[in-house]
Amino acid sequence: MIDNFFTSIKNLLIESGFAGGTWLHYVLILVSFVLMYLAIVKKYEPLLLLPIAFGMFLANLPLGGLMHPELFKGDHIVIQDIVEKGGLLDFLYLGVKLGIYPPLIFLGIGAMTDFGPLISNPKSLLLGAAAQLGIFLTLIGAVALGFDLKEAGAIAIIGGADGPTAIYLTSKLAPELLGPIAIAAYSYMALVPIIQPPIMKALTTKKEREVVMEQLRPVSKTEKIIFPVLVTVLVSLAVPAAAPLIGMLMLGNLLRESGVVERLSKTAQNELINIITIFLGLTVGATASADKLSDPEYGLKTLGIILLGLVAFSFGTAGGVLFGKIMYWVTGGKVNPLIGSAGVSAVPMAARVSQKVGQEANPGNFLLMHAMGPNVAGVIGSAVAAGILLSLFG
Amino acid sequence: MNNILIAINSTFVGMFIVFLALILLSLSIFAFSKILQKKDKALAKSEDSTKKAVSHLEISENNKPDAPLDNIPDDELVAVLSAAIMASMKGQHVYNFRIKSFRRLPQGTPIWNRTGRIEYISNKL
Repeated sequence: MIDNFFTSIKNLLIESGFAGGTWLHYVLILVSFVLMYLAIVKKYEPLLLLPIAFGMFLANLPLGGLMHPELFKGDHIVIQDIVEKGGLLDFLYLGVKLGIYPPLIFLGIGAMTDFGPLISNPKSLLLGAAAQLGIFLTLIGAVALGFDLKEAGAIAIIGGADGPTAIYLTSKLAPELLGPIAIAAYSYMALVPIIQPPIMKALTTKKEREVVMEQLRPVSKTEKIIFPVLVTVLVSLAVPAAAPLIGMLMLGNLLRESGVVERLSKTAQNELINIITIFLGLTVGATASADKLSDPEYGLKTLGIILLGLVAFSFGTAGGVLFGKIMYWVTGGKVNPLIGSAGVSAVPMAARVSQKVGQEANPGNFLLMHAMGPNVAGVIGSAVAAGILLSLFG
Repeated sequence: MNNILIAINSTFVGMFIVFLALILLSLSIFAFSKILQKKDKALAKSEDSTKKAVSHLEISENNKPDAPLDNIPDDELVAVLSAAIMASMKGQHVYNFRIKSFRRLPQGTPIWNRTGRIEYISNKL
């Protein structure tokens, strides 16, 4: 009787997660706790970092069976296998693998974004283009470090400072690197106020930072309605691979600006984006599993991604500021070069940084609305850059 | 080495296409704005001339203006507008803005809607 009791307890313990886990499982669970701490206490991009951290935690619970990375290995997935063997997170991960979630997030972002400052000053699109320099220079750096072209393209997009774009491109080019790239992209986006100011100050003089820009002209409703249609047509024709992201971004914006579908607009900017954010964060976090990190080469790649992500962000910021300086000279001192750094997307954080650094130089200066132009242009620019990388290496 | 060359080439191609696409977009937005601004100006002109014709008619027939708002003197209206701007920009340093012009828009709401609104507001008071 007693023997039976102890045998049952022993069997239960052997079959439990305590015995089934490796040290790497527990290390990753600890890392997920650190990420949860950063999201909850330090408030670093909590909307995404918290689901990512919890996804990482769930996927690394030994014998939990919530996520099976082996089902998604290779270029093709077998739906039948996923239906038969998959866990909850496998089913949700299909939205990432098939490239569904990032465009839907863009739909919500479009519905939340006012492109007025950009329409009012279309020149700011050039700053959004210049800030993509970080993406393409990092591409060279990643290849030099030994990554193949597909992986390098996925890593380089971190420089776009746009989470959904990074996830979209990585899921197409190098899905096995999704976890580290997404975590690096969102972490650096949260660190924009720390990374950007020293670069901005180093590349500009005090006189340039003090420039007060002219008031933006008001934009009519007709212009705001034409804008999303125009962008979709032009960008989709120029870079067809960017159509899913740009198309959804602009649909969201049209819902907002048309003024006739308020319910749809509100759903896109609230319920829909929130639901997708939960699914996206959870499944992206779940890709950082112990099975992958047990491979030392993968660990080295993760370190390389973290390093290259910082390089991408820094070069993107520098590209924007340097182009801002060119505009300063061309316009005879009418453009404050600090708004160039906002071209790296990271809406609206990067624009706030431009405002803050500008106000440090001249307390009466308000650059926020001027910086919002390049900031939203950066979203379009990074989607175009992602489309180009997808066309070149996809 | 071959991959490095491809990456360098992709960098140039990528930056070129990004700039090209966004310059094209910038020019198109600029062109559309200009066209729309011209159209707006033309519309405003024709509205002004219609207004003048109507006011001439009203004076000659000795009619009263039908909206009570039209009776507010211009300087009072400017003061109200300034106060509204100051209130909406609370917390920001607005000390050097200037109202250069304002335009009264013709009342396009049907009379029954207006009556309904006035009744609704007076019931709330």
